[in-house]
Amino acid sequence: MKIKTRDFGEISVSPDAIIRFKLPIYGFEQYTDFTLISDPNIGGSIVWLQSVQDPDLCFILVDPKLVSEEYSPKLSDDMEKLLRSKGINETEIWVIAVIPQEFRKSTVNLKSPIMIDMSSKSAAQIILDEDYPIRAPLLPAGKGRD
Amino acid sequence: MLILSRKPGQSFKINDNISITIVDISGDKVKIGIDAPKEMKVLRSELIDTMEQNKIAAVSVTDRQFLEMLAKPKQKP
Repeated sequence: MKIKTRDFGEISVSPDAIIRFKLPIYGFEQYTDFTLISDPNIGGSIVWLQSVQDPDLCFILVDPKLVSEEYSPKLSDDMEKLLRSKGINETEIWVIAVIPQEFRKSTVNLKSPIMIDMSSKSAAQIILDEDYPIRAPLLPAGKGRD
Repeated sequence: MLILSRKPGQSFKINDNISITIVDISGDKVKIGIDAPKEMKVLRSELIDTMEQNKIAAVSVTDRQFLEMLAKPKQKP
C-alpha cells in the first residue's frame, strides 16, 4: 500500500511492515499504526516512526546506544506477553527524540522507550520503573556546542 | 508543601471525596491506594511528562545534517 509521509513524500509499505501499538504513544492514543523508515544516508541508528493514519505525524527515534552504552531496560513479564507472539526475542528498543530549532538542546526520553517486537510487529511505549531521565541530552557535553 | 507522616494501613482525605491510603511499604517503594470519583484523573507524573515530551517530539524539526552528524559521530580522523 502507498502512504504519504512527512519527510519522505509518498512511499509504498508492505502490510507486514506495519507496526501496531498495543499500548499507545502517550498523548497520541488514537494513532496505533506506524511504519519505520530509515534513511540510507543516515544509517540504522536513527529511524522515522511514521504514522500510517496521519501523514503529518512522525517521530524521530534514536538508538539509545548513541546516548548511553549502559542503557538496557528490562521488559516486564506482562510487557513480554503483550508484545511477543512466539516467545522469540526480537524486541528492538528505541527512544523518542525531541529536536528543537536549537538542536544542541535536543533530548531523548530514556524513561519511556518505544519497544517494538519485530516478529509480531507489536509495539508499546513503556514507562520504566527504573530511574532514567525523561529529558536526557542527546549530545554529549561539549559535542556540537560552542 | 504539607508533609504528613503515615504508617501502612493509615489514610487521609482530600476534600470530602478523595481518600488516600498507604497500603504497603517495602524497600524504597510505597504502595498507595486512591479512592476518588471516577471522573477524577489520577496520573503518575512521569506519564504526564512523557506525554508532554511526545507532543513536542511530534513537532520536532528534521535537520538531516544534524541527524547525520549524530548518527556518525566519530568517523572523521
